[in-house]
Amino acid sequence: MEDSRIIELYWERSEMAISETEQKYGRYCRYIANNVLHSDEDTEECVNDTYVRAWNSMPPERPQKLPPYLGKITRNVALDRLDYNNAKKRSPEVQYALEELAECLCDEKGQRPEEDIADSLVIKDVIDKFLKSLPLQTRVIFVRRYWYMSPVAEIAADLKLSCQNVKVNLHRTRKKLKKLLEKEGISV
Amino acid sequence: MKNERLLKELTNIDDAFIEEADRENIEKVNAKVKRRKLLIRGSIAACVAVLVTVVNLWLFMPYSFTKVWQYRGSEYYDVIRHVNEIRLSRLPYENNFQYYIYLLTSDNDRDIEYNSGLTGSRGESGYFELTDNQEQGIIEGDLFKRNGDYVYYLGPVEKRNGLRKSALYIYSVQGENSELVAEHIFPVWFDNSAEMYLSEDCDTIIVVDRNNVYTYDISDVTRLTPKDTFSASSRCETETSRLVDGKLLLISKMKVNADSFSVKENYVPFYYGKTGEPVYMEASELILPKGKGRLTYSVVYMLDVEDLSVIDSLAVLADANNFYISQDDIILTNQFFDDTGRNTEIIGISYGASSLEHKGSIVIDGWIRNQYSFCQKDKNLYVVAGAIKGEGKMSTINADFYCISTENWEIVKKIESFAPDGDFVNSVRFSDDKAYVCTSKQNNQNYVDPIFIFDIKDPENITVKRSADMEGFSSSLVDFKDGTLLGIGQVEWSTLKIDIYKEGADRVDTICSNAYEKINFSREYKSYYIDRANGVVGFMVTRHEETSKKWVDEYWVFTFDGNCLNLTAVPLGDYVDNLDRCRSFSQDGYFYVFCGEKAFVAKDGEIIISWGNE
Repeated sequence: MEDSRIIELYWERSEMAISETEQKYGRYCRYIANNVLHSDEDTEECVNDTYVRAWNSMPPERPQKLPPYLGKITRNVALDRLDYNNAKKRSPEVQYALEELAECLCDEKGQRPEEDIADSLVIKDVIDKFLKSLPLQTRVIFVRRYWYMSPVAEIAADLKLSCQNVKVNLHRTRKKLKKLLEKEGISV
Repeated sequence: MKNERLLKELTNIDDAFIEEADRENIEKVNAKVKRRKLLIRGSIAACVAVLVTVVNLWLFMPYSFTKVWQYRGSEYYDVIRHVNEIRLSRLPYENNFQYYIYLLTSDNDRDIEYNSGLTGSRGESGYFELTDNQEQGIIEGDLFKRNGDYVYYLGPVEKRNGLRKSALYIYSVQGENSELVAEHIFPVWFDNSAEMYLSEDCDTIIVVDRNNVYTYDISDVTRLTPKDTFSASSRCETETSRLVDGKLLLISKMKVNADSFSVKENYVPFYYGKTGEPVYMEASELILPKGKGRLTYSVVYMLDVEDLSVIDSLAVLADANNFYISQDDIILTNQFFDDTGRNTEIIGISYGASSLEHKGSIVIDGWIRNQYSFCQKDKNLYVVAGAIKGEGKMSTINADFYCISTENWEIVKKIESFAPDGDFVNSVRFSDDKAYVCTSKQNNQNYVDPIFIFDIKDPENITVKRSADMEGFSSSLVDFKDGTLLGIGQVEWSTLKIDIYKEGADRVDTICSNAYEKINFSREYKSYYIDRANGVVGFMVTRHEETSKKWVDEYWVFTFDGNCLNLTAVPLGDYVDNLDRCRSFSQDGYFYVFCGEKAFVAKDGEIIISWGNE
């Protein structure tokens, strides 16, 4: 079924919308959730929560593209669920991704007070611009790693690169992002 | 945690990026990346191919030549065709690649030298010639000239008012009462090669610069008044000059720009008239030589020193590297290469009272060292030339002696390969009926030379005698006291060798030979003071002092007593900037020495008066 038709089903408040979403994007949502949570049980709950949130948000929302819309919901739900989990139980991929991303953050001295934290919209704009400036392959590697939380080995296999190549690429991209964030005065 | 916040903020990135990185789309990404890589590689390959093609075209494309037929109506059509033909037939390189190889491998040294002649000839009106001119009555430019009362020295003034200037120093010649009478700073800075003359009435100084000639009134030694200026084209560069009977023969060179014949100044020599307008030489004044050498004119101007007006001019399309001015003719050489190797065309130009005329030319094998390799006598021109003998691996260097008729420009007599195989001509000197030649070769880092004396009394029957081989070589030969020959030269670069030779019954004998180690001296002949009558030679040296381990300047005077050369040294400490620019002479036992801004008078090895050495 076409994505536009599925969205129409949400707007018609037809329960078929959920089953069509599950059929078409269930695997996609599970992939995102599992990369964050690394637990089948948590993943299933997370995907179900995603469908509920999608049902509640459409209408009024009418997303231009359904997969990223669902993906964002899944990712947010999965990350929220992490807050409930003990840090020791945290997925190793998320742990690694968090440690890697820590490189991009300002030092303590450069941090602003809590109330000065940059507005999310500004950060989104800066990161979008940053991603747009990257070459296609570098951008895909970065998004796969820090948005989809994919393991390095999987990214390397998908893009027919070596693991080392992917790691070096990520390291350079993180350094660039750090410089950009510093330049923009963003401390998150 | 802050990094968690960043991770969460990433959630909101643009949908396009999320969709693009979706695993479902990974094949599309890979295909795009592959296409992009191919495109980049293709672009790089295309750029490299274009670059290689351009470089190849630039390096290997033969030089293009102007369509000369379009200049058929020009009076200079013959010149244009000749210039174009030289470009087409230029052997050393036909494209840029060959040109750069040629630059890297060729020996571009030129043997252009300024030289000198006779000691102290007193003129009728008080003029007293200091320069040791090669030919009697043919006065050569120098840094100093004098009359009975004063010496005029053309020197520098360093950093006066922050600017480098040239100055005319005037000293009185009165032994221990000598004085610096005046120091006139010229309004312009003359080139290092600038030389000067003093008019016969001693009222005018003539300065020959890079492409200008200036005259200054100096009738009152305390005042220097500019008179006239002659300016050749800025593309011209003075090579040498002579003062003969109130006429200045100025010889300069002008490079031809053969890229375009639409602009006359590219290929026709000119000078600036009194009102500043360019005056181009007529086509009839441009001589095209037999040999096709470099695209450079050797331009001869005959100037009236009274007002620096041009009496006549003539140019030869030859990059002459030697100029000899005899009593009758100007001899210049055009060196060129053809299938037979390195050749020299000897071109004669007669100069009368008011005209310059091309007399003729002859082509000989090899090359000429300098102006002293020529002597014109009784309608014959005597020449010593170096040449390659034999072909291929069997070839060697040697020297030939020619007698050439300047009436029909044919060889009267040639003595071929008179030197040992492998010898270069180092120095030549003609005097009366004799020709003195020093040749040398390098054996295991050491130079070995013989001296030859030719008897040219009978051109048809020229005889030659030689000395035994000796260490070192003479860079200057001077006919000296009582028929002896003085040789000034070196064993190694920092060694001074000074010898006296004499012609024996069947060979050349060495009367005395002195060598001094760790000595720097000038090879500029005009820096030597030569007194033939009294057997005295004086010049400035820089000597390495063993005790202090320093280089110190000294003025050395050698006196020949009939058996050996006796040295008297005047110690000066750190004195000289440029040995080539030192000049000296002696009168009544006093030595007058001038070096740049400094000067002194010495007697019996001691300085009596010194100027500019505060």
